[in-house]
Amino acid sequence: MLELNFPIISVLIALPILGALLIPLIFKTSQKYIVIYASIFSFIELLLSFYAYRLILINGTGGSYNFTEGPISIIRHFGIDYYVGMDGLSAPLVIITSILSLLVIIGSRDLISDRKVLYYSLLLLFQGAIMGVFTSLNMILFYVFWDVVLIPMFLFIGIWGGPRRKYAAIKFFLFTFIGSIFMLFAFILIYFSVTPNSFNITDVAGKIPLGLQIISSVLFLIGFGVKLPIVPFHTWLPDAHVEAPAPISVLLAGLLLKMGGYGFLRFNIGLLPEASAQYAWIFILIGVITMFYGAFVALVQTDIKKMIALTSINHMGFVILGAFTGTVFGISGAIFQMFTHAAAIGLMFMLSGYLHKVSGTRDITVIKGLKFTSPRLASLLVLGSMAAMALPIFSSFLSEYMVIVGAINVNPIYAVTVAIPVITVAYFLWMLQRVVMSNPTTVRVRHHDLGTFSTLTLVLYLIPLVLTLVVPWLILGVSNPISEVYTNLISSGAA
Amino acid sequence: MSTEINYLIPWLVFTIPILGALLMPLVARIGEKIRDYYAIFITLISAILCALMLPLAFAGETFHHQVMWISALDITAGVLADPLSILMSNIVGWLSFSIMVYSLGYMKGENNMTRYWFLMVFFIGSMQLIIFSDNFLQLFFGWEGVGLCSYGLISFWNKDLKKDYVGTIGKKAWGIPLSYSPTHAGNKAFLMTRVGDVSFLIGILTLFYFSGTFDFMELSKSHTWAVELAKAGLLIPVALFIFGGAIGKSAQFPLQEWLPDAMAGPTAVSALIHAATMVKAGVFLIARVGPIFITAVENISLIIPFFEFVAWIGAITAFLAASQAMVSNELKKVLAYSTISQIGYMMLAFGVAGLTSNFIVGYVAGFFHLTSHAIFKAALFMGAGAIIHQTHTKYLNEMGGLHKQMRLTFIAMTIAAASLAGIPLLSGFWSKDAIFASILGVESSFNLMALYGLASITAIMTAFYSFRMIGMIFFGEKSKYLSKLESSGKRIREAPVLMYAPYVILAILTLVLGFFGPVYEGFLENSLARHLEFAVGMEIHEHVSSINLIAVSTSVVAVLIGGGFSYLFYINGKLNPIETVKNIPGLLTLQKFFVNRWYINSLYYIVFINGSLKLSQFIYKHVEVGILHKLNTVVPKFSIILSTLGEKFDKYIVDGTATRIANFNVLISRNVRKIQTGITEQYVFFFALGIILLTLLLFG
Amino acid sequence: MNIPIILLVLLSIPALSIPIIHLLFGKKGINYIRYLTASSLLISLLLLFGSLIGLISQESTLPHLIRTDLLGSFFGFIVILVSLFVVISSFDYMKDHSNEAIYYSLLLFTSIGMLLLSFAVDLLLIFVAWELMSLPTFILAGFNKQDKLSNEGAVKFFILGALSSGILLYGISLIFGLVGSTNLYVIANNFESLDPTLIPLVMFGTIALLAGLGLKLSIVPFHMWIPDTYQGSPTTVSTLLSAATKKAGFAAAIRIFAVIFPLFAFDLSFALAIVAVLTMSLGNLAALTQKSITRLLAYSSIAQAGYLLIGLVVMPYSDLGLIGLLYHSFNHAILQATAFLAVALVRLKTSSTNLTSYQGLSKIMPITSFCLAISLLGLAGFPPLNGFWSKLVLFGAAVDGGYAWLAFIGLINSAISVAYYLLVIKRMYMDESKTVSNIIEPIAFKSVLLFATIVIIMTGLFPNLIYDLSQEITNSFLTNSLV
Repeated sequence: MLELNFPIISVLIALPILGALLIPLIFKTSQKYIVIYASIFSFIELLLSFYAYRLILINGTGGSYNFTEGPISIIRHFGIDYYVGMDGLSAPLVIITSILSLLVIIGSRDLISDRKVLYYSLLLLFQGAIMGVFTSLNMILFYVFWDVVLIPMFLFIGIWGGPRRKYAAIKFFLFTFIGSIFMLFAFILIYFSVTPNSFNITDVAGKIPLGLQIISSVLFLIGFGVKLPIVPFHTWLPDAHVEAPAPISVLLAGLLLKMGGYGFLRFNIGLLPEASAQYAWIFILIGVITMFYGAFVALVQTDIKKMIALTSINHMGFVILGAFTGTVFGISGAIFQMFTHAAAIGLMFMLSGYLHKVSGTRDITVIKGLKFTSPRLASLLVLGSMAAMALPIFSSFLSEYMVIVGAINVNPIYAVTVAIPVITVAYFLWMLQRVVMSNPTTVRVRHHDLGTFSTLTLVLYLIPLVLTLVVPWLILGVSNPISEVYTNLISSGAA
Repeated sequence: MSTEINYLIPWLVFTIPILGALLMPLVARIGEKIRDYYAIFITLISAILCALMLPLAFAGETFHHQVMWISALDITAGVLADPLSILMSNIVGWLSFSIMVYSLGYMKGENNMTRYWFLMVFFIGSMQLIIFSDNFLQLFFGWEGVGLCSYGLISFWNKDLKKDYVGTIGKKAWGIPLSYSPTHAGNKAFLMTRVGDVSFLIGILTLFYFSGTFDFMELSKSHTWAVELAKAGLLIPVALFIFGGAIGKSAQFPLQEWLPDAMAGPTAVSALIHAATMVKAGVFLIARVGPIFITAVENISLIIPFFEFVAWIGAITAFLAASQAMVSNELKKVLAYSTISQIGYMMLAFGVAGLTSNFIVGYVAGFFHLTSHAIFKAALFMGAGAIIHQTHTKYLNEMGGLHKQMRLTFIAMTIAAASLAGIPLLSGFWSKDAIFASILGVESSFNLMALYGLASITAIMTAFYSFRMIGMIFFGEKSKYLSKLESSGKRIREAPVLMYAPYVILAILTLVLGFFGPVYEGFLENSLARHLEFAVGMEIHEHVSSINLIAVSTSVVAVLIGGGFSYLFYINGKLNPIETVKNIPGLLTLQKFFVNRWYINSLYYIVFINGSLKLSQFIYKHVEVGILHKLNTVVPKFSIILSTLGEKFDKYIVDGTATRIANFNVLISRNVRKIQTGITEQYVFFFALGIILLTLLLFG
Repeated sequence: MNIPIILLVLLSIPALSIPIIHLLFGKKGINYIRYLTASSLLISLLLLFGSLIGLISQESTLPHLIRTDLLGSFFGFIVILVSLFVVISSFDYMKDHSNEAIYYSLLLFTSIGMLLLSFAVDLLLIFVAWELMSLPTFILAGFNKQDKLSNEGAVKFFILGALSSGILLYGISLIFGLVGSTNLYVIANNFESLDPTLIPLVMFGTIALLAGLGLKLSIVPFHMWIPDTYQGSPTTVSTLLSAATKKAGFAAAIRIFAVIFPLFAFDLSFALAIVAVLTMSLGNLAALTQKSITRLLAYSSIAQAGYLLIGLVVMPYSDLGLIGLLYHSFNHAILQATAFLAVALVRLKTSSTNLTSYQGLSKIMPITSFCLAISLLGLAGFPPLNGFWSKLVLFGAAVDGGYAWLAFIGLINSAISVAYYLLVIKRMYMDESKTVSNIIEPIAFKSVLLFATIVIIMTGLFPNLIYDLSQEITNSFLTNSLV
């Protein structure tokens, strides 16, 4: 329970939004330095979140809410407050948000050329909003940020997207919005079920009657499941990814999906422990199905972006699986998995963007001998794939296997999930064999590779993965306290 | 040596190569020559470090050092330097050094050497990591690391030119081609070993669940976990799952199919990874966990089935591979099959060790064979590499009569091959003999007898294919291919010194080891025995290593039979192999069966690869697109229909009803009639209807 | 002082004098007329605002007819605000129309009617105000004489209006006959002494009232005139109808049901709940496939009426009901006004209300499309705009009042509604426009739109402002409603 003498979280939320509002005023005429401008804001964000994160890490206070602000009432008599805080669950997501946003802003330099003003202001807006999602301690506030996130994403896909962008954008918006409606209904029900009526997570925790818990967990399953996404609510995802420009796919997979995982952990586990404990097997089953389904469908994709999108479905399956094992391993693993997946898949999507730029197509069967035409891109692609297949040279390995350990602790049967990485490896290797290796004779060879700067920015994605492999404490030191708290909740809920 | 150095050395042995590898790209910027020597230098350093630890091994002592790794889950990282690991590390270190030197000559003029050196050095690092790990998790990192490098090196020539393919192009079995491109071979190797890794993981994770630790020492200290496992009936399954990892890495049945195709890589790679070191990792793993399991169970009989399984897998693999080695026409593939089969012997030995009351015998035999095989097989591979390098062919039937041109190679390879065949007083003889002896061990059962029989038949085949290989390369008259080659002006001569030096030295080593065979065995026995007693805490019966006459005679007889036949066929050419095969009924089909790898390979492709692709296609077509996407279009369509209904509800229903009630125009004054449409009337009607409805709602 | 009376005077003077000015000065005078109308409305708006925030204390004269309470001021504020918007935007919209002067005076008369309606507590006065409000709108609806659509819509509107007035009157007379008074509070008092066998008749009277009001409240099944009329009449007038008169109707409805509800609460709530469900579902579903944006907005406003009804339904069970009702009335008024005025501007410039003419509008008319987009999102109940908060309160009220299923249906409905609002936004921002030439957005119009949009955003970011007000009003109203 740390305190600071300045409202760090509010700054984290407000700063980018402020930046976003200023952009149209500053860059009326020339958009020369707009990227630098945006990245400055994002960089300050990064520093701030590192500062906050470091404090939580070294003080080991991940188990409770730190830097809390509020409750400052928004609607006094209807329990709607401005109430934010950061615990071991939010902190890793806040960090990865800052990192990815900065990298995406820099990366967009090469990939986005038109309507820059709108684009970068939306980027900053998005960053601020998603910060809000991960730090809100009031359910309605959470919902507000949750929905605000949709608008920039909707426009990103719809304006800068590919040929079927409008369809994809609207599909994305409707799916996720309708999902959120169910979530909102659960919130309202919870508000009136507890005395005194409250929307504050800290107040309602442990007061919700079992019956309502069950109803709410069904509603949440829809609300968060659409975001995560779980099968069969996932169909918006491949479309959105295929149409969205590469940097946006990074945000989409790297951050937006995490909202679903965060929701499951924060609300299903944190607020509905009894229901989650007693019906865990349903969620775990859904998770496993999602994992296998995603992996299997990915196997035959020829559009590399679609393949990656489906991969992230299978990766997010690990999150829900880990969350509902209700073990320290599982929950910490789930949080860790969200972190690593964001970095790994982020890199892959960025690469897919460059791949499209370099070879003019994203068709796996068409691109050949990439390592001869653009070696840097090729080697990054190999590294990224390794991160995505969870080989033990990146921390994605640790996270996935922590989840599996958790699952096995619940029931050795769940060891079958170990088979997932095999399928993943299969189609990634296949992709690499076809795209990176083999002779580049069949495709018109365009000999331009990544610039040094772009290469460096892409390498930055891997650094968190390597760091957290060597020193997993960087994440687990924060996530374990909260995992222990949740584990106790679940175990007492099961009793 | 002082403990100061002591605690750093094991760490450095694998950290130096790994970090060194990561620096490779930078070093490469300085200059190519520098890069090459840098790579070799690093290897040498790590080898020397291994050598520095030998005294510890002689003393039979154990050194264990740990640091916190995942403190949150108190998982530690550490090094475990005991005789087993130190000896293993020396074998790996020095062999890899010699092979690296060999690569200098062999890979001369290749492109992408930076990648080559990187992978090789990184491989050595990971291998040493496996060896010195003191816990399963850390070991697994190395385990994956070597797999990765092997993948990268198999598909090193990733332009997939036809000349780099492995297997004779166009040959098919059950419609599945038997020849693969380097990249394909790489994927195959990675995936198949991955299957093993998965079962390995399941094993160690379940073990972790029961024991709460990955640490070998702790596992061998506390035995409660074993009791609980046994209670849960999971003891044998877990052991087998872990063994699955070994099966994958060491290419044992049923996961042996990747190794022959791994020959698509450069020969130096095959020598290092697919003969001397990586494939031994599986054996090493068993050597590590075998004792732990034995000591863990309070009643030996609980774990017996596991060792039986290991032994049988070993024996079957040995037989299976040897049979294919006899008929293969590719030099490197012969060696690959023989590697598989020899590793089968080692597994057999370790399995038997667990079966017999006196563990140490089989244990020592297995490790002994590991040592000797590593040496002579490396020599064979490098020799083969030299020949291929000089003759530009990998097919045995395109060689022949080379013993004059390549005398040194001839001698070296013959020594090695003889050792492989088990000619007395060579290292291979002693080690194989030790294995036989261990099988015959103290008590005898049907199992042991059957295993013994299988092993001896394999021995015959081994002798046969060893000499067949030698014969086809060096004796007989030159093949058409070679004479054409020479007539085209290309003279076939000895390989450059950089290449033959290593394998000549190894050949000599084979002789030496052969000469001091029993001494080495004795040394192994007491150092490993002390290790097992003190570190693992296993009680070792006094055992005097004596030459077991039955064993000796079996191996001698085996050599005579196998060697004799191949002498007649290939060396003095009394019999023509092709004719004989034709004449004797059944042999032809048998040959075909062997050539087609017992159809196991094809079976795997049909079932797993094509099968899963089909399944995936099916799911995508019929579930994803067929059902879910349809659903996405159906829901909006449905709401559109509802919406139009809503409008109809406004327009037509009301309309229809109203027109039917013609005389409901009381309220409508004249000026209303001016409006052409009748709509208003219906509105009015509906207005009234609404009121009636409400009334019903209230009173009803 | 007595706000309603002052306002009555304040507004009726210009209303009556406008025709005279027009007679005297003719075309030249039109500017005076405009500013006169606008300023009179502005002043009354300020007065109401003052009374709302308690600057101006109200003491009640002639308590039997009108009751000068916050509720009245609140609705008065809403309707006057909307009228002001309409008037200012009409400067451009009605420019060079032959009868522009009359148009303004009619607007003023309507607003007087609405004003009275929001203060009236006597059924008779309610009826009078009702007529005063409706009659000018009949004319306004048909203001474009040459436009056939306009005429048709107007006449339909007139007939049904007349009918509703008739039924309203019938209901009033029925109740008067039974209870012997037209003053709501007296009715409430006399009710105890009523012979129970007559209760059904009172109920029937109530239904008649409901039906009469229902026309203005645009609730199913009294809604069919709306799409035609909104499309036919000048869009500014549609704005008035959808944003202002409906609210005035709700004011009356609140007053009536606040008194009559307690007498036989349950049945009526349930009946209303059914009506609410029908209203919103039908509105939203029908809106999905509209080709013309005015019709789309018409249906959407039907749906919104459904949400407002929720408040009426749970009024007896939860204070939140009335709070939400007031809160949403305000927000909806602003949102609807903005949306309709934006549409009016587009219609003025492109002379089309067809959705296809909105393709790529963001490039041609950036400000207008921005305001329209914001207001549509607000109507969809998208956070953090004000529409979200009030809907949230309404649904909360439903749950609180034991109508959780109603809240759920409401939520599903707003999910559906997002679809068609979104499609408009998509047209404006993602489709490519046929014409690329920039259209000049007239300053007055633009400023109204921008002002309204800012209000939307501000009241969204600081929902306390209106919410607390609504709560204050609710408390004061419910505590001393039965004097």
